[in-house]
Amino acid sequence: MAVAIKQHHGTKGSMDHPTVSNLRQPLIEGEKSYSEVTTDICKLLDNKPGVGWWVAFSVSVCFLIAGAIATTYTVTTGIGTWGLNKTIGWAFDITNFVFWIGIGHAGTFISAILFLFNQKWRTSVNRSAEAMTLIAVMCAGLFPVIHMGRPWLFYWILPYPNARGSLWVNFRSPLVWDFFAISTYFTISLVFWYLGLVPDLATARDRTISKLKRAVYRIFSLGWNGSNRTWSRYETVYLVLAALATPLVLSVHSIVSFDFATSLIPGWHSTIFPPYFVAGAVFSGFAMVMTLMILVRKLMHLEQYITVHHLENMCKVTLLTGSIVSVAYLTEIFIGFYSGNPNEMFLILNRVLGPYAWAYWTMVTCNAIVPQLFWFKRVRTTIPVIFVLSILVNVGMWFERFVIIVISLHRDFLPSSWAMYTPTVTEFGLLLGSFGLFFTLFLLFLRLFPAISMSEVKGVLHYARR
Amino acid sequence: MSGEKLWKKFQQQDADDAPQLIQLESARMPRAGVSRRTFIEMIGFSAAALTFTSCRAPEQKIIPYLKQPVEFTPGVASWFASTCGGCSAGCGVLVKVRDGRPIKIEGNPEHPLNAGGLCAVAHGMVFGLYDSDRVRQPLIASKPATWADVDRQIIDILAATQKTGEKVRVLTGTITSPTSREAIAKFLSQFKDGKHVVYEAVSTAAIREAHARTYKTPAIPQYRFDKAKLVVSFGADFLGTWIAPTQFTRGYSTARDLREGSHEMSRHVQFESLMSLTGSNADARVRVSPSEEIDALLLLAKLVSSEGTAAVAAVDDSRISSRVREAVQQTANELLKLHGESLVISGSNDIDAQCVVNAINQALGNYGKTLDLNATSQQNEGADQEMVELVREMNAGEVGGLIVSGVNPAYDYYASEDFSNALAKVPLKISLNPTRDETSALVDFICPQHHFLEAWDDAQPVRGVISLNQPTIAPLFQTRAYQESLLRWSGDGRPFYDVLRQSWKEKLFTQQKTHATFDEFWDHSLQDGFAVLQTQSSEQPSFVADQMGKSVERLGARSADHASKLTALLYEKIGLRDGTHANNPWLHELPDPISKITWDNYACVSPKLAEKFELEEGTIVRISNSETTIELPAHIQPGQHDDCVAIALGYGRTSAGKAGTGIGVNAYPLVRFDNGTFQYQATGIKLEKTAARVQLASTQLHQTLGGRPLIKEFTLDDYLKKHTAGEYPKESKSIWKDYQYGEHKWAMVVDLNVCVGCSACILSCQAENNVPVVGKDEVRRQREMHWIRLDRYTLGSDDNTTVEYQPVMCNQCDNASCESVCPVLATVHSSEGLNMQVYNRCVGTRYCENNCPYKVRRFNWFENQHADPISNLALNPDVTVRSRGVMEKCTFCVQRIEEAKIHARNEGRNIRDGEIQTACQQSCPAHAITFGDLVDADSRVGKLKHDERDYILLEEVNLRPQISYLAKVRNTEEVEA
Repeated sequence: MAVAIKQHHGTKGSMDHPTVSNLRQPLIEGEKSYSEVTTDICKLLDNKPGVGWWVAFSVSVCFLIAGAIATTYTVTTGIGTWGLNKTIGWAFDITNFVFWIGIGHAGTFISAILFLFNQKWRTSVNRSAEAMTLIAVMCAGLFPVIHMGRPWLFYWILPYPNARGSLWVNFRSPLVWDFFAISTYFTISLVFWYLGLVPDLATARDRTISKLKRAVYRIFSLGWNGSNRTWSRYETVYLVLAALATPLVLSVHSIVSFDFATSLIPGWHSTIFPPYFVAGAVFSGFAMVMTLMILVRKLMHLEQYITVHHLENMCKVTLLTGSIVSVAYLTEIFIGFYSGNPNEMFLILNRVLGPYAWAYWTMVTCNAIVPQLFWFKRVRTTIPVIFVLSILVNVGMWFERFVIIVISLHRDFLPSSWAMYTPTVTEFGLLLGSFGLFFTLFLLFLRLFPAISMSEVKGVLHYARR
Repeated sequence: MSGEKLWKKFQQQDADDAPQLIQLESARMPRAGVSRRTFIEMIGFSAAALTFTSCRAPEQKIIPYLKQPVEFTPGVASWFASTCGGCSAGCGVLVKVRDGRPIKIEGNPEHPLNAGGLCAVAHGMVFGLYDSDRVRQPLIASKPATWADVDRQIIDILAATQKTGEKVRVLTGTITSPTSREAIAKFLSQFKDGKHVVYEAVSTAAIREAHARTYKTPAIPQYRFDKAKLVVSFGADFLGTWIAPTQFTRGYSTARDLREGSHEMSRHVQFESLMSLTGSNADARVRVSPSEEIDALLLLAKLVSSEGTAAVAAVDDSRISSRVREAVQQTANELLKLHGESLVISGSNDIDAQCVVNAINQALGNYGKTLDLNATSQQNEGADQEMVELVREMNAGEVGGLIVSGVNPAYDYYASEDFSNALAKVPLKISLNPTRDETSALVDFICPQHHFLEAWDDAQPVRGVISLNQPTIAPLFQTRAYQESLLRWSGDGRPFYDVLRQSWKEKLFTQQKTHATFDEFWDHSLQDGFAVLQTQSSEQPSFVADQMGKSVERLGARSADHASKLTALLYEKIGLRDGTHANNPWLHELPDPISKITWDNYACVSPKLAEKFELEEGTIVRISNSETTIELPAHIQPGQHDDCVAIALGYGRTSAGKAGTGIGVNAYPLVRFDNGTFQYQATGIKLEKTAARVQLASTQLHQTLGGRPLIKEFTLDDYLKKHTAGEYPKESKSIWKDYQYGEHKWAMVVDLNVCVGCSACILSCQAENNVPVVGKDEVRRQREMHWIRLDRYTLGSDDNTTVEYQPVMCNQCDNASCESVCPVLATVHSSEGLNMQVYNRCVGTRYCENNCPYKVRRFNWFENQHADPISNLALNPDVTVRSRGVMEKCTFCVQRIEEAKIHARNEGRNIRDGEIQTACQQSCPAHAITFGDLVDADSRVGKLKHDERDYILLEEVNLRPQISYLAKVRNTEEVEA
């Protein structure tokens, strides 16, 4: 491989490619050389973090502590510390669970599906997006455990040989399917992410002066030597894993949606749920990637690696999936009335006009109306606007799950049991805590791992250059 | 002896087997010397064993009886016939005793009055026994003392009183026990002026006074609702709280039962102002203002009367509205067609009104048919005039000694302050009450009496039916039967048991001919719980009309005076009744069937009145008249008249105990004494809105059906024209294989037509299944735990409000939606059609709760069971106490099913139809619930499943539940769509 020769010095702007068409904009700005890329990325691991990182980390840890307190209180006192009741058995808990699982969709989508589609721009964001996926799935995984009445027995939902007869799990229960789907997804994502890390870990190993770090990186880089054979096997495995991970992107949220779709509560019992949930998950996942990437490029000074071009691409995916979700909303309303089922019709009316209509309209505004602004290039390329909109999308997606869970449950078949749900401080604590955990782990990731895939970025440095 | 032999034999056999065993063991033993592998295994095992043994819950040893009592098997329940002491209605009960503890009260199916049914209060009495707030020993000036001290001091003071000749009064509630009355009489006979005053906080004295006036018979007649083809009630809540509701519900539902080929049902017309349980069941409910109720009664008298015509002809009916007039006219026409087959009653405690009712019944020929003045009722015998007289005497300082037993006038007397002040003037004040209530707090001596489950007694609620009350547990505390206390203070040291036996031998044995010896008679009566004596049937006394004119005049004047004035109506709720049992959390948490509110009383206002005063549900209102002011939350009650505010009595206790103190507001100060009786209404009150608002602890937040066909209802005509209720064919096709049931398939049918909504099933279930009480705040959060609930829906307009009830418990579905979603198989289908909940497997995902369309699953949000060593004695050992984080629900009383199966197997027979009764079914005074085995082709439940009225709740969801309902039938012209 030839060593890259620096062509420019001191120019940082990207506007000096007048002859390049819009479609052929360089992916990485600043005319980086290979060594510059290595230095830029590894600098994040070697140097002390900046003030921005520390501020973000402190805030995240505070949230995490709040969550830990809420969790301790719940586990020691009982689910009664939440606002649930005889009618509404799930609310914030499963809303948060589905929300985080949804967030966990973008990473594998970016790294696997976009890889298969040969989308070169993914290289700058895939590492962080995959890390985000793993962390989001961890956050999600907490809620099914905490939400149990007796969380210390959570392992009973795992099928393992036991001395109870042997008593297996109920393979008819979507919660068991969830367990399989999520654990498979997590495993594949972890392996995929780790595999992608190996060349970069080797780079870190070779650069670091700390003995401890070197020892750790040595173990985890699996003896990577950069030989042609290593590269060739690496790329084959990467391709195979990408192909394996791709169906999982679709299956996880389909199966999570079965929690609702296979139930009989109006508003849950719906065949539209699997595709609708997958689109929603990718939608929210991309929004979260955008939020994070805007923060990362600012905090870690990676503006040249994560460019407006990347963000614009992600805006387009968000626009597409947001529109799919909007169609799903309209379809639900149509089917509600088309079904002729009074319970379904009532459900739609209750969603749109009932006591929780504010939640429904928040959802519609954030998920169906707000992303439509991405039709405008000005919006897609103005970073503060993208930042705000990406957060709004995730607010909307959180409310989507709230709407599905709480509004459907609070007024179902027998009016005698209709009830209202009001969250408690503990539940807000858990929600905050999950964000705390998410950002704490993500900020640690930024410090401990190369946040951008050096080896892959090096492969696209020449992309679109004269 | 035989046990020892068996042991020997067993040991012998053991020794015989030994060589083989040793051989077998040695085959399994490892070869000598320990291999490395075995060593590691052993190390691993020991480490694991050491670790895990320390994780175990602490062991608790069960100590067996050293000497086992005769006829007693640990773990097997015994049943004792007794009499309920919850109120004066005197229902026959069977007390279930497990390992020496009474744990459940059920109606005695043989008892002539209640025939197996029981009310909610009766079920709560078990909890009352184990109330840790009971007074545990005699107290002198609030200090613990011994009975010997107490007796000595009291006897000394009484001796002094005997000398001075001061008045001595015994103040009790209704005592239907002839032997106890004798004991009281014997005690009082020592004094120059001794008198027994009977006081009831919620009195029906006017009925007795009216019969004294019109028949010269001061008694409450026996009402025969089973014989009445038309019942017309003016505000009498005879199904809920009036005199003997369980007995009346039994009669009423018998006359309305359409199961098994019956095509006749009685008709019920109710004129009332507030919405009562009884009114909500009426075929025609006419909403009237309190003054209109009087007008309507007078008009009805005018229209049907033949005797005393002169008096009632003068009735001024100009105030009556055309709607009410029409209703009265129609009722009168119907009544006149049914000579001797109707029953007119009034819930008023006004003597004049009751006189008019008597005149109407007399004119309709009902005496001797649906009203019996021979076998009169002795239930609720409060004598209001005497009570007022007593307070006057006390105030005047004429009373030297007052002994209070079973009543609490310092709380529930209409002028309780007067009573308290008067009490202070009595030199000797003794309370025999079991708790340190408001009255006991003011006395010198508290001599706590037994709970009725600890005591001997008898009761004669209706003349000719005499019940026995036997102790089912040794007294928990140092208490003493009140009769024994009184006898001891009159120099008779016998235990009350001896007194009772002697009295029965002398008085009752002679009145019967069935048994030859007294011991046989006694044993039989004790076993049955009651004895029916021959009553000499004499002619019904003749009607005396001489005072009718004055009565009609007074009533007319009152109605004119009260017209369109705002009136406070004071009523009892079926759970708490008059407030005596206010320390019972079961009763507090029982949702009122009409309002569905728990743990509170409130001012019921009509929707129009609420609009006028801009009240919302829970707005605190101030209700005042010249005497008193109370503040309590408003509840908007459809169907109530705009001219009244209804407030429940029995709340606002200041000294009831842990559970009862400070719950609600005391409305007794609004009661008036007028015209010789207590009046449970206050006219001309002022209603003001305050800025405060509270959330009432209601278990049902939505009152209407919203057009959903959940409760099916026909008119009688429609039903007779062979309408069917089920919408879908009974045998529907499915691509899934149905469950195959072998031996049993348990199923239930609930007849909505006879169910009156009395809610006794809820408490019966609570007692049977260890259902926890969660308290007001948790009910506000919609987390009550009752396994069976009574859904109540309101339909119709202001003037024509109908109410529908539907008991809902786990439907035990074949295609159970809860079973498929549980990840850990904690809820599974049994081979007998039961949907079983495995508590120790449940991890609490609540998915089943979400997916249940009937919403009958209950989750333990917190650790609901508390370590109260006394009240925990009420727990049923056959039913697991559920821990925190576990889902629970109705099991069809699986413990009863299993018990019956064991009995049948031991006796080598099949289970008989009707042998298994679920707790809700057993307790139902209306016998609305049928339970049985669908595999048994002749079972009653199987036949009812083919009734035309049979339908399944939410049949379209196709869960194929084992519970179905029989549609309600109203004996009326049109029915609300």
